[in-house]
Amino acid sequence: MRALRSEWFKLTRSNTLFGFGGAMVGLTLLFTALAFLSVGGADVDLDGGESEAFVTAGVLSTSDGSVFASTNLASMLGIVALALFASSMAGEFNKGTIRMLFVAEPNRIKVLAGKLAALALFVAAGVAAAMTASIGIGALLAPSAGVDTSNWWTTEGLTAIGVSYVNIAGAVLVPGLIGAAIAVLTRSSAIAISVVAAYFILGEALISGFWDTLARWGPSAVTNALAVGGIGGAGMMGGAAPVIAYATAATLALVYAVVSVAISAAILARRDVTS
Amino acid sequence: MSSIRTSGLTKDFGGLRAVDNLTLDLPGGGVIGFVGPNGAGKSTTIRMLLGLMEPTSGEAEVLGHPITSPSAYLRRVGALIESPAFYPSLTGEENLRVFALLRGCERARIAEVLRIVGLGDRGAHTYKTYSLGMKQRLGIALALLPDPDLLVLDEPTNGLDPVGIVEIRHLLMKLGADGKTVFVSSHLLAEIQAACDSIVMIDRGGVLFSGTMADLLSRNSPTIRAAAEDDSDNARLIQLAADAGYHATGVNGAIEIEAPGHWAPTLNRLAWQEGINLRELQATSSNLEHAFFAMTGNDEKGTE
Repeated sequence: MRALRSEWFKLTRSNTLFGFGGAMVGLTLLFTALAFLSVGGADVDLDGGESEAFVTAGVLSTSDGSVFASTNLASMLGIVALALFASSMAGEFNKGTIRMLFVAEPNRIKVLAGKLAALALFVAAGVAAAMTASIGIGALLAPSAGVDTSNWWTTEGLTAIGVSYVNIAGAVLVPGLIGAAIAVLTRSSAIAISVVAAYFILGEALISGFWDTLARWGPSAVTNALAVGGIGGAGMMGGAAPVIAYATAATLALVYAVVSVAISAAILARRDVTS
Repeated sequence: MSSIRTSGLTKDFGGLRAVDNLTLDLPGGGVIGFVGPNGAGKSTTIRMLLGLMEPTSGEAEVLGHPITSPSAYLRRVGALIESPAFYPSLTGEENLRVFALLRGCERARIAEVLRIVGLGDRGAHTYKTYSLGMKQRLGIALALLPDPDLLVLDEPTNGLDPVGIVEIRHLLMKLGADGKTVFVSSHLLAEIQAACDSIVMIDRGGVLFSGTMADLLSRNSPTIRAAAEDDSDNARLIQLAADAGYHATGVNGAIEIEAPGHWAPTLNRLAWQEGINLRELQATSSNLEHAFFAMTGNDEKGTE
C-alpha cells in the first residue's frame, strides 16, 4: 500500500497528469469530434470508387453509439498506456532512482506491485476521463450531425458504457504491462516502447499474414477484440480484427497480463542493481 | 555490537573480482571512513550491504541482521549511493515525499531534514534547477529521512563548496557523537581524517587497514625531508641522522628521515656545524594522505 501511494503521488504531479492523462483525453476528444463531423461521409477507395460510410448517424444513434469512438480508439490508448508503463519502469533505472526505492523498501515485489497497481489505476482513471469527455463532446456534436442520443441514456445504453469501460480499460492495460516487462528487461524506455508499439501496430498483422493462427490469440488481436466486446471489427491500427469470442479474449488478455507481471517480478527480484 | 560485519565477502562480475574476501568488523556509533582508489570495490561493497547486489560468496551482517534479509535492517538505515538520484520534474520536497510515503515516514520529517541540510528555503523548487551541491544536500536529506541508526554515505561532499563541506563534516560528526553510526566513503582524505573516528582502507577488493584513525596514523611515522646544496653531502646527512638514532634514505637527490618534525632545527644546526649547507628542509607530519599512498603502493605523483 505504501508503494502504491508513493507511485500515485508521482503520477499525479503535473507533468505525468497533464502529459499522459491529457494525451488519453485529447486523442479521444479528437477522434470523437472527427467521427461526428464525418457522419455519412463515404470512404474513397484507391481505385476511385466509393465504399459505404464508416461512421453513420444510425451507428451513433444506437444504444452503444456513445462508446463508438472510445472502443475504436482503444489500440491508440493502449499505446499511450504502453509509453506510460515503459517510461515509468525504465525511468527508475535510467535516473538511478531504483536503488533508492529498493533501499527505502527492500521487498522488491512490493515496490513492483505498488508501481504497477498505481499505473493501472492511473490508466483506468484516464480511460474513464477519456470516455466521459468522448460522450460529452459526442452529445454536444450530435444535433448538428443528425445523431439521436436518446438511446444512449437508456438502461441498455448505460450498461453499454459500463461494459465498454471495463473492456477498454482491460484492453489498454495489456500493452502497458507487456511494455513494463520489456522495460524491466532492457532498462530502456525507448526500446520497450518502440518494440511493443511496432508489434501492436504493425508486427502482429504482418506475421499473421504468414501465420494466421496468431490472429486468433496474438496480444494485439486479443486486445482489439476485448475492446470491442469480442465481436471483432475494425482494429484501429492493424486493419480488420478477427472474430474472437469475448470469453477467449478476456482470458487471453488476463494470461498476457499475468505472464508480463511474472516476468517483471522474476527479473526485478533476482537481478543486481547496478544503475 | 558491530554495525557492519563481513566475513569473506566476495563479488565477481564475470571474470572480474570487484570485492575479494573482505572481512570487517566495524563498531557501532561514531564516524567510520571507507577509503580506497577508484575501482577498489567500495561502491560494490556498499551495494551488497544495502541488499542491492548479491555476494558471489561470503556473508555479512548489518545492525546484527544478515544481508540476505535486508528488510530486517534497512528501515534503520539511510543511504546515499554514489551520485544522488531523484525525479527531475518534482520539487525537492516532492522527491522526499515519494520516499517518505514508501518508508512510512511522517510528513513533518521532510521539512526537518531539508532544514538540517540547508535546503529549507529551496524545497519548493524543482530538482532539475538544483546545483550539484544542492542535489548532494538533497541526497543527504533523503538518507536522514528515516532518522537512521546507520547512515551509509558514498561521496557525500561531492560537488559541495568549502562551506558546504565543513557543514556536512560537522553534521556527520554530530550524528556520530549522538550515537549513530556513519559509514562514509570519500576521496577527500583530509575530510575523512578530520571527521572519522575509525577507518577502513581497501584496494583491489581487499582490506588494507581497518581500525581507529589514531592507530593508522601512528603506523606512519612523520618524516623530515632534507637536501644538501652539494648532492655529495647527502650521504653525510644520512650519517648525522643515523648517529641521532633515526633511519634515513636517499630519495631523488634528497634524503627522507623518519623523525619527528621538532628534530628538523637540530638537523639544521648539526649540518651547519659539519659545514653542510642545506637547500631544502621540510618537516611532514603523518596524515591520512601519506598513509593512503604508502598502503596502496602509489606515490603521491600518481604512479605505482
